[in-house]
Amino acid sequence: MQYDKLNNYLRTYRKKLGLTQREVSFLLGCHGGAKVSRYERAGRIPDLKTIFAYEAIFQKPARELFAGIYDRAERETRRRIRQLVSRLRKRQESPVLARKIAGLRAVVEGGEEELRYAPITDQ
Amino acid sequence: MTDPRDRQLRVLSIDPHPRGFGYAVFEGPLCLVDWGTKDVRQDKERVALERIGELVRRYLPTVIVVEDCAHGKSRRNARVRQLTERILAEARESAVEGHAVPRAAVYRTFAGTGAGTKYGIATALVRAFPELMVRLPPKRKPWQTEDSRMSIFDAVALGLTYFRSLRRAGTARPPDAQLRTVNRRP
Repeated sequence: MQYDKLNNYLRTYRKKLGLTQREVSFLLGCHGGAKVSRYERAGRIPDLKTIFAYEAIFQKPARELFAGIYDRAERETRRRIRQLVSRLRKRQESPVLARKIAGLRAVVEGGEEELRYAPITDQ
Repeated sequence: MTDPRDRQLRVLSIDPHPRGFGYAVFEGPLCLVDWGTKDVRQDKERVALERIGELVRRYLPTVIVVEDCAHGKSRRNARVRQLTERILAEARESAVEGHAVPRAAVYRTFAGTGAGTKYGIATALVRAFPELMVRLPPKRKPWQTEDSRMSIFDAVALGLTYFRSLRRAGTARPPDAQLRTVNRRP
């Protein structure tokens, strides 16, 4: 059975650095460790500025620090991309539409493929 | 190298001690997610089970590992034995797989590191997981009682022994024949 990633790994990285919640709260510019505790328990999602501060403290990208939230967001986005692609396919074909669909399919099929931009020529 | 099968498991290992319990959470044998001790002073069994329940709800483990107190050589007291059985029973109720690891299996796991004592195992674990260094108590003198922080290292050692038993068995599920499985998934 595969487990889902935890919402966040803030507690893990904090403990790996040997920092207390109060020390992290100082680094984040908050007062007291209560807010840090809520972030770690996923009782509260930090704002963007705090997420970047966490990245700076732990030297890890946000997608690793908030792995569970990232995984869910990615899954949901991929699902919506598939829906959008199937809607777009119903429209009249055009080079712009074809490029849009190719780009979206590249994202869904792994995102490894680099999207190349060629000049649009009127046919 | 981590076995890809190990990455499918989130393991919560618990080591009860007279004043509470130590715990460790793994995502594979190389990734220690959380570790610590919980102090329990009054109504020990009920409060300890509540705290373990909180950990289970927070980490949603696939496997819970405890020491096999029913094993012949176990010297755990009656309360800890009972608590261990309750933990395994609660795991069964929550549809989490439970495993009991005998102490002898833990010593065998760490025999290769030259660690023949609990403290030796703890120092071997600090080498593997430097983040545990701050929790390593000073070496116990013969007249001293054991530091409760040692239960963190016991819990980590239990978890690693479980992963090692999986690798030896060569499958993701059936563990070492010496491990007692309480609630194996089909």
